[in-house]
Amino acid sequence: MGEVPERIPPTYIAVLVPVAAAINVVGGYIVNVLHLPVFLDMIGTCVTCWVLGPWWGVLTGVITNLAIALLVNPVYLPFAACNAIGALVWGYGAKIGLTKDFPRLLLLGIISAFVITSMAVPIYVFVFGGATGHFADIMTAVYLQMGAQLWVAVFSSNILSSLADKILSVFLAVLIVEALPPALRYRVEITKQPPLRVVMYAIIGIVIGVALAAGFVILTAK
Amino acid sequence: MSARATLYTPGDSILHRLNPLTKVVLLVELLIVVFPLMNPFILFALAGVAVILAVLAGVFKEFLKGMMILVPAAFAMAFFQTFWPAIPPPHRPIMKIGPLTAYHEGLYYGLVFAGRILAMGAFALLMVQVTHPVDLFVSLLKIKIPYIVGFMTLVTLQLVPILMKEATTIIQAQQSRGMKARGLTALIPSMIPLFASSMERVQQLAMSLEARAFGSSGKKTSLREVRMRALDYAVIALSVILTVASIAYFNEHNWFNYLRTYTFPVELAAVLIGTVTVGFVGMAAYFLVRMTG
Repeated sequence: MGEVPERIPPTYIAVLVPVAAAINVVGGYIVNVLHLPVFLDMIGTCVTCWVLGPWWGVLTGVITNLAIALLVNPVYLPFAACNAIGALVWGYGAKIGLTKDFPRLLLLGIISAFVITSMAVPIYVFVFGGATGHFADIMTAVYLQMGAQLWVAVFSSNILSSLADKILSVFLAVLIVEALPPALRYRVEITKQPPLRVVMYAIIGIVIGVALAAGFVILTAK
Repeated sequence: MSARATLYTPGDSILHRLNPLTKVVLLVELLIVVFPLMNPFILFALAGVAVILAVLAGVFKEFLKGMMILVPAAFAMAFFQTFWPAIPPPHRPIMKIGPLTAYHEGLYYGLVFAGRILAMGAFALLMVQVTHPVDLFVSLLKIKIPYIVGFMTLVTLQLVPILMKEATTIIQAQQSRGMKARGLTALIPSMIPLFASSMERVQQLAMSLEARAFGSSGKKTSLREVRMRALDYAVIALSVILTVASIAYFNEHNWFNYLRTYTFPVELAAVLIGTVTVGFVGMAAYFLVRMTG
């Protein structure tokens, strides 16, 4: 870094946060159009928590879910907590240098997936009775039939889509940060975008590994 | 999702004319009463009340569209609980379907969850439909919510339809160049142009805010005026009395919880379990077909 720290103009903050929140919402729309089994509704959060700081990321997450509440249905408002905790993990992760190179960024994606899913599972179990209304429900039914408790089954199935989702989000956020004006991004040290094929193989490997591990643990614990 | 800005549906019903804060108070009171209720019949009846209110307020068509999003989740909830009840045993079996066994407690508990989410979702959706978002934030500012939060949320709401339109155009343009519009390979060509144009928008918007003295410390006014009227105070007073009374009444009757004692008549159980299973399997098939193309 070494440059003289300069304040980001407040007008930029006032604009970057809503644009990031809108990217979150539209990301969800695009994966729907492309029929992808992920959410990608936290890319903007990731960008603001790196560029502006963790707590601006939290605000982006909360505003995203406020917007979803006004656009889709207010019952999704509790998931603001997931978006907020994700912002804290990514924001402070960047501060301790977890964005410096490819393996660390991958690690940050995996950590965030576990933290965010731990936040989401209580909401799914207490408010939604373990259901998500998504593809993850299929895996939940499979794990339940294998003899898992409800919250174990919900965690094990949601962690799979969450891993793919958060790792992909982190690397897409790198792309956005690269496109930002230098005055906005000089405070955070972020690796160059690796080839997407490598990211894909990493995601597929991790997801299959975790799915098998969860199945194995549930079967042996029975 | 349509390109329309929000779920707000214009109208002139009493619900539309209430102050947004009054509606927030009503909604919170309702959630406090609905959450501990353990009776699927009352919960589904409450959801029915919301449907009637939506018809009376003239927002039924959009209401139905909003509620459809919750239906797959409701099916999954009822399905999980029916066959794998998340409550301590004993469980009384009703019938077997292949390797799965359905239980009375499970079906009851599953219907409670489905009814709860449908009732809460219905009233929350109705509240959003009859409240102009600007009115909501103007009245939230009056109870000292930071200005920047309200401003950013409103800008987000305006940006979402614009970016969605752009995303659709980008995907169509890439398709005309031969991109297959599904799967992970389509993600990057769809996302990057959107990111690029969004970042340009950041610069333009920041400049226009600067030109309009965004950071100045003077008192900010709003185009739309919202105030509490006598009707609002009357509604709030009445609703508080009703809420306290119903909590006392429900509590006296153990929140109408018949989880351990209710036995479903065989025909009713067959119909319910059939519906829930078909609903869940249909949803699962839909997701699998979509994913594998």
